[in-house]
Amino acid sequence: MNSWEAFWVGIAPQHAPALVAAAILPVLVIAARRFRTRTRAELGLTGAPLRPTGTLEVWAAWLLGIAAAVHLALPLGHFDGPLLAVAFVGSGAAYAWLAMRALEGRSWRLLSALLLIATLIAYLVVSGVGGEEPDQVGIATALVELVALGLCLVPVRQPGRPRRFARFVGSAATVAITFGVGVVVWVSSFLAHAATDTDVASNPEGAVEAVGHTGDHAHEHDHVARAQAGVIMRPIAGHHPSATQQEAAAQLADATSKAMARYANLDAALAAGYKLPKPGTGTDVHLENKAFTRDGRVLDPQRPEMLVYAIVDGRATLLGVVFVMERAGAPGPDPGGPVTRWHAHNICLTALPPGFGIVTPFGTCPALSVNITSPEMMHVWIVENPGGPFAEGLDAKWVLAYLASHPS
Amino acid sequence: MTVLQPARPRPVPGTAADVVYVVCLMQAAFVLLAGLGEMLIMGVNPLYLVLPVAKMVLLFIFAAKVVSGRRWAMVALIVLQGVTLVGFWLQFGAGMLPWVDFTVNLVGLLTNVVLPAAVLYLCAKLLAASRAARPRVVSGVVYRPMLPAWPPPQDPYAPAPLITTVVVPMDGPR
Repeated sequence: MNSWEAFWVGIAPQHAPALVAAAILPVLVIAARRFRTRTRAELGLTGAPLRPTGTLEVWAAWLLGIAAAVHLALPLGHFDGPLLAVAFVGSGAAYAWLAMRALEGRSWRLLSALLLIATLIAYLVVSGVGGEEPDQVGIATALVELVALGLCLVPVRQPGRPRRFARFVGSAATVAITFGVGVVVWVSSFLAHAATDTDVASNPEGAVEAVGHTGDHAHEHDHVARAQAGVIMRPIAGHHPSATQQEAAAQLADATSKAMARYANLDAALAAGYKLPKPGTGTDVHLENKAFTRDGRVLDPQRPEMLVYAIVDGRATLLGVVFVMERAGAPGPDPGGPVTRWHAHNICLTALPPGFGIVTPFGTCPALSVNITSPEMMHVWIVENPGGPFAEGLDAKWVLAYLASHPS
Repeated sequence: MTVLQPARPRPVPGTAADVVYVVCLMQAAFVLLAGLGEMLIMGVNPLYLVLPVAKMVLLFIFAAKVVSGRRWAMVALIVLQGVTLVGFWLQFGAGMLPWVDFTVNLVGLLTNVVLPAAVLYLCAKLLAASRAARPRVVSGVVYRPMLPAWPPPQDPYAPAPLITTVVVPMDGPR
């Protein structure tokens, strides 16, 4: 999946009208301004037209205007009942009214702050309880609202009146709220992603249901990690694997399990060219074989690019393998259809100190780091686990319990 | 008869520096979030927080000093945001390499391109304004810039000035 495809995958289809509305807002504003100027000239009105009083007010008006456009257009894509539609339209109208107040130089901060906080809380609650998977439009709108909230919370510095304490409190609140929103969205996106594995394991025939949605077929959405915060997924053509695809997936899992029996001992893997990373302990230690990463063979059960071991208390247990594509952006073959789904990771590589993190829901990395997206990869687990052989990860607690119950 | 009309205080308008300050606060929060995420992944090693916290502090200091009208802080922020912008496009270029990719998404564009570009633009504007207002010294003579003699801005919707006293003649002119 190239950058262009990844960009569009991040946008939930039901949020597309909201994005279009936000995009055409500047055009509408320019048209309205021209119309107003012409009307004033025709009516012979003199005097300066209404202008905002400061740069901050212009920014606030634009940000609130964007939030208004998004909320007014959301019911066009969301069909979640009349109550929610009324709530969207109501909040959109309120945002538009507050934007006008900011433009006219009237008081707007208090009401805007209250509305912004209420909207953000509503979004986080809906995301947190799995009512909606965070996507790029949702997070971008939250970002716009956060900047507007910051403009509300931090008082303007005036000559002779520094308002140091109020500015400190406003600044701290802005940082804390932005951080908090990021954490909740991040956790929500991971929970939605983890739920996909559970769905696949519990319902292999109808597996890839909407994550966090009602499961109603009329309202089904494909889970494609639209927050793109650490995981990038390709959309799938169908939600239900055919009998042939299920059989192919089972064959792949079986073939991998049999082929990997020879690496049950860690020394055998090291002798075959797999490299143990540092520190080399943990519940999911990935050993890479550089030769296999560029051997031109894809999804070969005999030559997986990585092995995953649990190395705890001096004991190494092979849990599964990772198949990795050679070229970044190239789609992996999916013989099992929606069961054998590939994913990529967008990670942040840092040099000081050497390490890596994952990209935040705000699309950012730590200071002085490089943001890259890995080639597509797919796990195949050879141990029985709650997520099934194609789960994207194993819970560390489950791995420890597994090791305890399998002493040898 | 005396008619008193309450004079409502008008909100004090904010400047570009106030916007820069808030955007820098947001960027500080982004850096903190990313730093904490990396620290957790790298085994809760606090060393991974050193750079993010340093950048946070720098952002906060620069932003606060921009609000105070310090020119060096404006220049520093222009450099910092410029590095962020250049970095984004370098990463985009690196994504063309066969073994890595670079994911561009809506939020990433906002935080890595739009916000830094906005701060850069606002700081450049503030810097130009402060330059224009700075007195120049040529051959030991200080030239102070002429302030434009614009009339004070008028708000057509501003409340009427406080009417103090209206004297109503009770018994007509004498």
